[in-house]
Amino acid sequence: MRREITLQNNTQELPRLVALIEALERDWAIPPEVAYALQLALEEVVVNAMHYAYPSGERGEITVRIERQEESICCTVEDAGIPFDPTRTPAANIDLEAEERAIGGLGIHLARAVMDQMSYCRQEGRNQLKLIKKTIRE
Amino acid sequence: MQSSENRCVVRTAGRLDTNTAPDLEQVLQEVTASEVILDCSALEYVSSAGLRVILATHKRMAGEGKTLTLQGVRPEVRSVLDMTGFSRILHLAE
Repeated sequence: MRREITLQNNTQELPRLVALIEALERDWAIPPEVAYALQLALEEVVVNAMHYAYPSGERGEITVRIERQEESICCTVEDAGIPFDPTRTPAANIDLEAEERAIGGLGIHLARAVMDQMSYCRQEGRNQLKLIKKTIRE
Repeated sequence: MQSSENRCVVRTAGRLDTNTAPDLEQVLQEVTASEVILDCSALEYVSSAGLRVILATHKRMAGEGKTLTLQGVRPEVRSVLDMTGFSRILHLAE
């Protein structure tokens, strides 16, 4: 089972992604905690692509594919923007006190934290970020 | 929003995400009370955009000698606060 959605690089498109994940939670009987992880990780990486993949003012597309596998959900987020590998961003320091914290910079950290695997490749001029969430607890 | 001179309760519900966080930010910027309770009992989802608003408000208020308390945080939102270390640096109440 597989579903795909293409979004413009505008955060007003985000509700379409939210609605798709809600529909899949129902149609594919995805456990609520897995659906929550998908909502969170996909919002973070898709909004990151909406903000930074394309030069300011330039329109572009972000495609999200979600595939139900036997024991996991595999998501692929693709754009044709500036090469960017989120898996190489430095880990956020979550031990800092409030006054030492920068405002922001937690999105990729959260996506990494809630998913089981995250991998990146650049293929045919496109960023491809793959995120996997197991649906069965070991 | 319920407000008295020194204490104000702001209720947030549903999703606190990229598109809704600016609305909460605007409300919190307008509050002048020295003690703000953010009622999270109906908040089902928070992403980094919501965390950004909460941290910015916490820092601003702390700088003014004021306090922000998150009340009634649900487990799914609490897990996001835990993952980011926010549950340690913010004031949380049952």
